[in-house]
Amino acid sequence: MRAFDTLDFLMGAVEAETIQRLRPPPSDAVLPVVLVTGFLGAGKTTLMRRLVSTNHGLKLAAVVNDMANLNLDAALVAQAGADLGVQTLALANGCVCCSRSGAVARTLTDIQAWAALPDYVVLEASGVADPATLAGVAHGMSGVRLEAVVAVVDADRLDLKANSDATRLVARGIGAADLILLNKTDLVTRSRAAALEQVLLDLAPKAAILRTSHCAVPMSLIFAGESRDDAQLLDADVEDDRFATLELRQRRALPRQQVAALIASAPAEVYRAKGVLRLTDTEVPELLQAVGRRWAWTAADTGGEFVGRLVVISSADAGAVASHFAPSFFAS
Amino acid sequence: MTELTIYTAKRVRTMDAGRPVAEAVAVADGKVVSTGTLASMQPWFDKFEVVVDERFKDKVIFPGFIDPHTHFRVSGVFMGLNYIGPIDQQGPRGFNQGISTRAGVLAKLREVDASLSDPDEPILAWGLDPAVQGGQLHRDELDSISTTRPIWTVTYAPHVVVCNSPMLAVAGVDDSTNVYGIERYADGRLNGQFIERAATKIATRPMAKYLSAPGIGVQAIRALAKTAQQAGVTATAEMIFGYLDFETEWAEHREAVLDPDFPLRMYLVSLEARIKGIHGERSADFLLEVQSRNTDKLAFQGVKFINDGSYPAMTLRLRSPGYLDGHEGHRGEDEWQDLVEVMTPYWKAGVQIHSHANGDETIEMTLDVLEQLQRMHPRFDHRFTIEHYCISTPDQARRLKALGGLASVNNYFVHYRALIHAQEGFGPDRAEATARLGSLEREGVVFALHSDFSLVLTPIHPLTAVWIAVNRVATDGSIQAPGERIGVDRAMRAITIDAAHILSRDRELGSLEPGKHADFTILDDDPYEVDPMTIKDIGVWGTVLGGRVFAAGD
Repeated sequence: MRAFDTLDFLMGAVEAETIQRLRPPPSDAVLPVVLVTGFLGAGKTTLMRRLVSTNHGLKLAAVVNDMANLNLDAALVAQAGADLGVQTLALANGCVCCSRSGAVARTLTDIQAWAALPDYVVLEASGVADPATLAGVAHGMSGVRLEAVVAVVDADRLDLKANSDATRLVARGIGAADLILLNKTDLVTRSRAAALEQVLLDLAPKAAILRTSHCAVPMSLIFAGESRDDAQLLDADVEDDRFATLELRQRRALPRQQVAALIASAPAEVYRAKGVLRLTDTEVPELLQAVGRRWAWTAADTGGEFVGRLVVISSADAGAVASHFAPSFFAS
Repeated sequence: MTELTIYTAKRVRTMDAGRPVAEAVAVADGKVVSTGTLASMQPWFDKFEVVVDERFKDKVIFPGFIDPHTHFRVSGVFMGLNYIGPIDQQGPRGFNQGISTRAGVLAKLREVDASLSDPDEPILAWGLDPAVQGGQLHRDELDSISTTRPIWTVTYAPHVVVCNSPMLAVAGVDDSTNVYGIERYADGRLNGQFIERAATKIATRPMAKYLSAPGIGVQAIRALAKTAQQAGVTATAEMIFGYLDFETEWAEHREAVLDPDFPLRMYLVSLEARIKGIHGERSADFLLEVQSRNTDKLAFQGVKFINDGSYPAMTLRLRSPGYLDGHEGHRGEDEWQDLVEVMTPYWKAGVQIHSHANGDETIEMTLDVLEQLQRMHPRFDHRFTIEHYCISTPDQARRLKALGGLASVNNYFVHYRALIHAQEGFGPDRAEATARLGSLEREGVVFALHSDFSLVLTPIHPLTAVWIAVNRVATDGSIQAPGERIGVDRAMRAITIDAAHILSRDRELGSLEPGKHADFTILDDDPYEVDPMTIKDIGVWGTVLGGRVFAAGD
């Protein structure tokens, strides 16, 4: 444990508050953020490259620690910039020597002031910053919704027994994650992968764990479809017949605790669930977002035809998922 | 007639190498008139009304110490945090003793509650380790300390926030709040605990609001200036001015510094990354224009670039063989390959450049940039300063000299962290050779010592920096890179006249000479005379700023 982590968190929270007081977000729009974390060499950069270069129809802002780390070749960057509307920026760190989470706060505030907001911000946490701290600060900001913390773990080289700062940070990243990509599974035996999954579950009992190689993960797992037309998002998905997206509808307004209980007890193969739902304890429908076994309720940006629809991404049999959520929800 | 106050002393160390020692120093209108003896000063007596002040007669008078690289505004807001953790810990308020028991934690909070005069001022505490300090805190426990003063605590690994009832009210949380992670007692009442992100988000807002409230900046500057003054500091430089907001910080510094009770001179080095965002191509011109706001006590001074991370956070950049675990440090906001272009306008306009570089890869790059600037537009006496200079190589000191550059060094790490980083991060060779002052001295580079207070959790105490420079003793008593030790005189220069040189103020500060500001540091003993291993223990009686006396107890 290091005092720096705590003080970084506190300093970041204070900086975020100060910056937002001096430069309030110009609109009420909410900026969705995905935080990608993982140790050097685990495949975090591969994932980032996938995210910025896949034609998923989402306007992204990718914030990276060091532009050089992305190492996109020039043609790809040009295409991404022009065709896909990706803006790649280095973490604004006018004070690299102090708060990492302050730098995150500043960058997000800068993006909030853009004339055209991106659909998502993908933020790559560096190998030495405490991901839990960064997540806490990003999540605490006004007008920012931290949708998921994605940890990329190297199945081949993960070793959590070493007593070093790096190991501690990897463990913290895993602990903070909602979605863990157990990457490079093509390099390890199935029994090692299974053993690692158990270790990861112990560290992060609420996370969804996905075995990947080369971080080939469906985009819809990272950017859980917004309550709008995500045909393009799904089209762009990696060929992965392990996953299916199931759309469920609620029969009537539901008690909040009941929905929460359904998520908490869902089978491990349910990776994400998202939807604007009618609840019994409030007039206005709210957005439920669940990754793994964690969920959060927030104000819904959209309504109308999307209210009452729960989109569930899982690798389980569609029937099994539907029956878990029945009778509160039925498959449409 | 103007008064001439003659302070007598056991010894006066002028830091003027030509006339290094005296018995008295004469001051008029806040400036030094003469050093010497009562007898030698006689020729001045016709011009003034002479007053002999003997209060320092048993003390040693030095020029006021200068710490040329601090961050009072940004780190001072954390003066409001109280440490309640189990291990001894250097924190924003200085050294904190660890608290091993639950009773001890509660006693500390009670002590803080009793010490605060404003009943509405909250207690903000950090560092609790539930595993060794009797589990998580809870609301009833904190209410037993106060039911009227808001109390906010966070664990060491900042996962869990615990509030008392008044703080729950400030956070706007009540029994109807339905957020995952806001915990309850068995009977359903809120228990003050906030776990997981959704909940800590709500709980952290009040703390962040307290520590970012209007007025906190002024308080922060005052609080850390007091700590600095007690360590004998009379002048310092804020090295990331404009980090939050230029004009807001200017107003805060004016209010704090220009108050006659403020005991330091403050120089403001503006952060290029912010300035360029506002002034673009006019940035260098702006920094020249803004000099019109300068006074003797508060003045703009140069521009700051940051090109890598920090030493204790292990985010600096290293050359081969790199870090022990293979990670890489950060490079800073400006692209390294663009730095020559970015620095050129400042170089040409004569705005002094302070360039942060902690690791040897960054220092090498900085030297390359300085070399290119020199080729393009040769300058002497440009005072380009490498800030921190923690991990360097002897050949770099040589290059720095050849290019006319200076170094401002954070050498506190040699004592506080060299052993840690031999095992974690930098490896034994580089950790041991942190802060190569001996190499700088051998090559004839002018350098100063600084603390970066309080962003890297080392204290502000120039005599300790001198003690470390002279002895290079680690926490286990071992000597780290004995060949990098320097002599007492050189070390004392680094906190006086050479520090003034680095801030381009050696015409008016840093030594006791006629016409210079009457800024003194008053010591109980003479660092030149005591056993060098006891230099850090020399008592600081107080300081004098422009002729105004500030006892350390004030």
